[in-house]
Amino acid sequence: MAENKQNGLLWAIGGVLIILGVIYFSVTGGSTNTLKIGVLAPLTGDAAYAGTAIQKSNDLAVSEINAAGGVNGRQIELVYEDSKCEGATATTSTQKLINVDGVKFILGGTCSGETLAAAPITQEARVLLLSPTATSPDLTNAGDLVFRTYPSDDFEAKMVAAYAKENGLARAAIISENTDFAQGVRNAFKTSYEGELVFDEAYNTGETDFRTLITKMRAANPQMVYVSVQTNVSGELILKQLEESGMNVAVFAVNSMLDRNAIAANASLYEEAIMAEVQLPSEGKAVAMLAAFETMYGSASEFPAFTASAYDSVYLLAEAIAAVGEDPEAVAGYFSYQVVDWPGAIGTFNFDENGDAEVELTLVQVIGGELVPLAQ
Amino acid sequence: MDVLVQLVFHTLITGSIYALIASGLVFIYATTRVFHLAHGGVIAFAAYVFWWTNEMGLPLVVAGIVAILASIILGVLMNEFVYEPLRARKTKSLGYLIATIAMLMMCGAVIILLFGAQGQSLGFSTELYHVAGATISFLQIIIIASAFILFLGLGALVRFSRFGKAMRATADNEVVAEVLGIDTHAVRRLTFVLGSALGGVASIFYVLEFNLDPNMGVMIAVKGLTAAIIGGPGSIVGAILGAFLLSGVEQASVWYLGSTWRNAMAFVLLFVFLLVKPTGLFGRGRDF
Repeated sequence: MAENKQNGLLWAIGGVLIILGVIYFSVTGGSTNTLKIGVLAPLTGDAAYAGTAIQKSNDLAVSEINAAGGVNGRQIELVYEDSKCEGATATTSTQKLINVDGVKFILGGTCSGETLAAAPITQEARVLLLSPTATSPDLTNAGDLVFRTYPSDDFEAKMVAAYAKENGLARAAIISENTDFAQGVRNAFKTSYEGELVFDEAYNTGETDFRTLITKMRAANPQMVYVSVQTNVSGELILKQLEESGMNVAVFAVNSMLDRNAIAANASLYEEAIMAEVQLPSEGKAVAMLAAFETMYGSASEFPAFTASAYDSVYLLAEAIAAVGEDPEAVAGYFSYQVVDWPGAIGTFNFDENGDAEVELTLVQVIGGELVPLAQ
Repeated sequence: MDVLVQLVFHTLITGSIYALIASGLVFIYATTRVFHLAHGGVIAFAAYVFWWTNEMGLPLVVAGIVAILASIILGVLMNEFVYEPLRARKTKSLGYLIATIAMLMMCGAVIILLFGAQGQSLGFSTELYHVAGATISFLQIIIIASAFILFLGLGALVRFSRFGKAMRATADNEVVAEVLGIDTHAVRRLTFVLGSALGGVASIFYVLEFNLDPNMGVMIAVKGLTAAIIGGPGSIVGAILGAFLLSGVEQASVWYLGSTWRNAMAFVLLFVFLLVKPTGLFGRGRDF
């Protein structure tokens, strides 16, 4: 009997060792000659519309770079991890990318919350994090290996505040979602707005009934409302219930609402809403990229500015690795000192001393379902 | 603008949708003694079917009928393939609870599989009316009116029809009902048909008023359950009143405390009822 038990135990240990071995070789034994780059993006959940747009843009850039011979003769392989636009998921995803896939560079995240959650982990592991779309001002000081290719919300908030001042919008309201990104915009706007903030309320993600919140806001009698939402799912609901309340107020919305398909589908809801976006150059790289995007996917990009930002982030990283090798510290140095007036799809590009993008934002307004630059 | 009137409107609109959810839940509980939390999943699924059929180009009315049918089919399937086999094995209530929570979770996964993980909205809006200094849309009037008509119809059905009598008999004592020649299995099946149909109606209004999220079923189940417990599980009238009370407390907490307090205060209400009046508004003395 005792011998039987012992035999069983040996078999069990042997089995576990075999399984571990198989897992080990399947993870590390794959193609060793590719250059693995991790990607954090929400591929499911409410923010998937943004994550998949970024995925398409990344894949477009990688297919072009690989077709042209790759980086120092090696093909780029993107390893996607679904971060769901949630800090907790992003933490696990980042650890998986670093510890299991062994990447030294991560593109992402798409949302600010997931990027803020990933940054301490990548910093600790000395992995370079380059986000195309995380715009929270809190990321400015997230670490020396954290970079981004889209301007911080500080700029957006300042522009909205300046516009409000010029146009005599002296009483403002803010409705904000309880997420890192939306609260970042809210705080930045509170700091730069010079008028009177008459209403400032947050709601939890998943909320669907904003009517009483809007009634309350209406009682405060604001001239403008800044809608700071994580995704356009709750954003559109706020716009709809705002319209149904019969309230007449100037609407400003954050960059998560810039989805052109959604705006075209519900044009009347968005009508006259003001947002901030990077205007792409009307010639050169940007035009070629947008055309290539349309050819590859059969439809135009719903987020041209974010697409350009993601596309550029892949090219910047590839260029830096080609120049200085696969050392995150050296790549960071390259970003800080060698990237000067870099000609990107997003326009002429520089990193500032904090690794933030120096690109101009422009206020745009929805007119008849189209985003039209606002005459300043 | 009269704020109080406006808040009453908001309470009635959201309350009607909650009441449709809760009454289906209680209707099923009263007859089968199963707290059918997967009802939330059924509603979420029907909501996606409604949205999808409409996206495919069918008019809203047709999409609505398809959604109600989808809801009925899913509800009945759950009863026939999960609850009835459990019943045949004389499962205790914990078994049903595990099964129903599992199905609730599965509904979310199935929705993601079929319709994608992305939240959706229909962008539907109707004409606005100004009543007593407050605003209400045509759709919202329809929601409140149809909810009340459905509740009256449901009440009449339970009170006066043969099926209603059979149902009450089954609820009172299943064994005696069977001895008297009532096909209790058929009664339970029909209960799921009607309860799920109510859920289907709720799903349509939910989509038209709010939006869609693959995991919305959980929140729907929680709201329905809260309303049912406040009203006293087993009492449909109680569930309806519980739903309006819940909605009222939610609107008041948004107004006085802020939007982030909304769900917290709903649970405080639930807690208070469990503590002070665990039998709910209408007790459990009499069913329906």
